[in-house]
Amino acid sequence: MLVRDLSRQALARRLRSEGVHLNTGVFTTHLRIRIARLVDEFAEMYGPYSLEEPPGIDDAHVLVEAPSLWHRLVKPLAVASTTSLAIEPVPVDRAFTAMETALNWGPVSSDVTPLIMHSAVLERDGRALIMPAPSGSGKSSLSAALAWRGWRLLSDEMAVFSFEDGSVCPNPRPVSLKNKGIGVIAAFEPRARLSRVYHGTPKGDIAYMQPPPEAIARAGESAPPSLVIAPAYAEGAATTLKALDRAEAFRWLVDSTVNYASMLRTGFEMMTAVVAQCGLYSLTYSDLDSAIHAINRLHADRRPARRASA
Amino acid sequence: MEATAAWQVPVEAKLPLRYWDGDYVVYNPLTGNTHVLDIVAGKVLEIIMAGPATSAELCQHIAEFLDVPNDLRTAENVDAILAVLDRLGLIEPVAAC
Repeated sequence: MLVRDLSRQALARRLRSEGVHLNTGVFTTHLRIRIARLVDEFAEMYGPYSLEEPPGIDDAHVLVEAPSLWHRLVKPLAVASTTSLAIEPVPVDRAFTAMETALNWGPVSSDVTPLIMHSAVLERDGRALIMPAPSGSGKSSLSAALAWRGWRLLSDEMAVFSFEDGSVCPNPRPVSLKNKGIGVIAAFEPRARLSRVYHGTPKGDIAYMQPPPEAIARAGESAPPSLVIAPAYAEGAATTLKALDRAEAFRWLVDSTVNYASMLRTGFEMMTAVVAQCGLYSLTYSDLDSAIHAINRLHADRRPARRASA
Repeated sequence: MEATAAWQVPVEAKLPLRYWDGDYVVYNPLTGNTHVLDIVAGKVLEIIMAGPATSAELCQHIAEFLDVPNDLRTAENVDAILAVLDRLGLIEPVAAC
């Protein structure tokens, strides 16, 4: 069953009471929402996602609600929490941003997680492109653009590595576009479904792009890593690719992981395998089409890897 | 450092070591830490991993590897590397019988 298969009323009732088990790919989250106006925004953005029925084992539990009666009636605030952490309360009209943060952190903060790297991931021809980068690097705009130009979006937020074969498992949730990136993607791809703009967040303005239909439909298909690119947007810069030294890339990849240390030797083996099997580059860009062209050339030059299944 | 003192990897440790583009990366299962070593430190560790070696033997290997004289300067550099590897728990002195 998909989220959009439930009527608005049925969805609101389920979210308010027992919750839904939202499948976003590799993770399933038990989600409850006790803020009426958030239900419509959730339905709008998550309509094509599936609900696990009957529910299996959830990877996380997320609850979005007003922190108190005072905050429901007088000074509307929303707080999103997972089993182990509460996200900073936000004005209720930004509840969706708090929910998204909780959906990111919920599976990551659980006791049993795969190796996770803060990174965008896309796939083409059965091979994964990993783009770890800090906030503000243009990663989300570039991954949103690639997702409409022949690449399948696996995630804008995290690379989740399978213990089984080291492939990257999809978790294609809405892409968080910030500030200028919102207008850039709206102009770049008319088919992109964007949420309304949430103003005044700590990162400025944020709008979410629903992943293209293919990304959500194929959220069960993982892909082996083939390319690692560190993108950096620089106003007016020409598109420049630079090969990275492997030890330097290893250090940077490990720094980009969320839970490398707790993975012990398995984490070391998985990260060294990524470094050994991938082309490693940094990319400076200001023009999306030119950056996509450069990435496509790198991708075409690499020998096809064995395809992994989920 | 005593030139005849021998070094070994801790008996219980099996060190996964990778060499890329002039640098070594090693994981220490005893501490859970990962270390990036330069080419000379990595080479010293690699030699000790192949079997216990004395400082004098290591100096000889490193002098040949770098194609430099096996002199006091080489010995000082090798001693400094051994001290770091020891501090990281990657090597230990061989216990005297």
